[in-house]
Amino acid sequence: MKTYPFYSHWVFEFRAGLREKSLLLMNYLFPMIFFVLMAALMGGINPLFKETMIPAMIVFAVLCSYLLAMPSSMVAARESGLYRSYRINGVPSWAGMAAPMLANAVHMVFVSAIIAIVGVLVFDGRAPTEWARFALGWCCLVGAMAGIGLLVSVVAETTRAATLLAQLIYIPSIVLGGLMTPPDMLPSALSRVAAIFPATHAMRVFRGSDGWWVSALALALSAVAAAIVSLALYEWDTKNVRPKRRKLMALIPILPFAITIFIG
Amino acid sequence: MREGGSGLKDGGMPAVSVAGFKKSYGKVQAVRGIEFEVQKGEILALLGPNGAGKTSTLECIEGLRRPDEGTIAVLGMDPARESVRLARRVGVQLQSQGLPAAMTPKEALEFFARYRGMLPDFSTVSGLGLEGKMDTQISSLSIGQQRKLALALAIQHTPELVVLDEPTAGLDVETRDRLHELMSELKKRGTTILLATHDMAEAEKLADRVIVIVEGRVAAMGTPREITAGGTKLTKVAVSTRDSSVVREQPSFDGVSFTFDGEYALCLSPEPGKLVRELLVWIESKGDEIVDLRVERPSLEERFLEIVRSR
Repeated sequence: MKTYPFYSHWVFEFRAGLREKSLLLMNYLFPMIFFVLMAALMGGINPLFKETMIPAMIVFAVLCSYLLAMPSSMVAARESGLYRSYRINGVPSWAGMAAPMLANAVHMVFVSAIIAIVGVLVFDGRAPTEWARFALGWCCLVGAMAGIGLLVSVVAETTRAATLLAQLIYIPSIVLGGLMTPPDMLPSALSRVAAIFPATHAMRVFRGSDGWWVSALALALSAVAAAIVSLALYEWDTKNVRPKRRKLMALIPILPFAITIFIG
Repeated sequence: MREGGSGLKDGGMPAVSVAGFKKSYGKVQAVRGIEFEVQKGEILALLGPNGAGKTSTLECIEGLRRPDEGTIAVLGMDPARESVRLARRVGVQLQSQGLPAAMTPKEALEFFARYRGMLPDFSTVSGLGLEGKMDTQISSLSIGQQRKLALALAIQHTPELVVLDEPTAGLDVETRDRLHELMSELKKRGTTILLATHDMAEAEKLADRVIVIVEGRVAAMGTPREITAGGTKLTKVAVSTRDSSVVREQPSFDGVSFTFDGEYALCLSPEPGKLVRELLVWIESKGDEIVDLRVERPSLEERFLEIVRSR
């Protein structure tokens, strides 16, 4: 008898993203309100912003979903004993991690589509011209951010720690990632720092900058590395403590980005 | 509910086997070497004060933690390594069990049934009084209702072994009674039940065998009758007669003397059978008649307290 458990798990996680107010806020309301404000304000102040408005706001929405919404929600679930329930009821660990990641990806499809349509029709944003590259960039961005969000969820022992860790990636990504200002306006030292963050690489792919495929490859490799490391570090509950040294494995997904600093 | 799990699939192998089990959390030694077996088809109750090591033991049996030393086998498998396979044959209700807050009980039963490769059995809920709450989000259910749902999840796949960690804590009297009936019904169908509880009356009523764990070690093991018989506590005999002959004449039998409480004569005896026989003869010889006679052996709770205090 085929019962497709993972499919129903994924559907449940998707519905939970609509039912739970905090997830709804971070997946939809916060990025959409920010998009409308930025499009209205920045579009008037800096006309160049309209060139990258759509990818920048998509990157922003994905950062919100995978860094602000998912980790704290997953750590809270672990703290509440939900993953213990999964364990005793035969839910495999990969499913417990993959279902919320994929559910968020669907939310991001909707949010990205809304941003693209409203951006073009209402705010005179520039529509993507190379759709294949745009789609590839979107997939790489979502993969990398999902991986990093998952790692934060796995490594953080409390929701507070998850929020702090996520902010450590979220804020520099917004400031240095080329979402608001062109990356060539950054001092060279800062642009090297910016290369550590996935948002920078996603913007490079969306813009079609020279060597954009290197950024796409770095995002994809980081996503795969994050998934593997997350599986290795995953725990059913907060009382099962891993040695702190082992948690350093969580830095591995940064390596593909760090390498791009040296290969330009 | 469908027919219960067969207890014969693995021959004479015990349902649960724990040998040389030790578990520490940092410098705290929660379990210091425990050995026991749960035979198929029996109800075994784990008793112990808070922090005795019951939950640590259960969590290792459930596959939620790994033992530091020793071995644990559940239906012949290592629960830490084969949790997904065991989930189809074992049902577990945790002491504090997180359930997806945004799910309804109906969705939760479907969700976990699918992961076990079966269709949901909503009839398990009917005996637990959750029928009217099937479409209410779990976050809106009371703690008691959530515990009932956790129990329904533990038994809906008709497991061979059910592990229950304080299943009746926080439940009202009626639901507790229903739950006891349910456990007796499961036992009749061949299901093995491992139960941790603080409710001595529950253990005495339901369990075939009892294990008392104190400070991470097995302090006593046996049937409730064996446990209560093993202590220094004496059986209480209380008698009241029509003419109050015992109260008036205050007899003594083999050195056992009475105390008095109104119309009742009370005594504690190591051999209550012999005492009652002699007492009946004495009362008859006085031409008196018994109005009330009570023989109360020490309860499991009294014996439990004696064991715990002796440590």
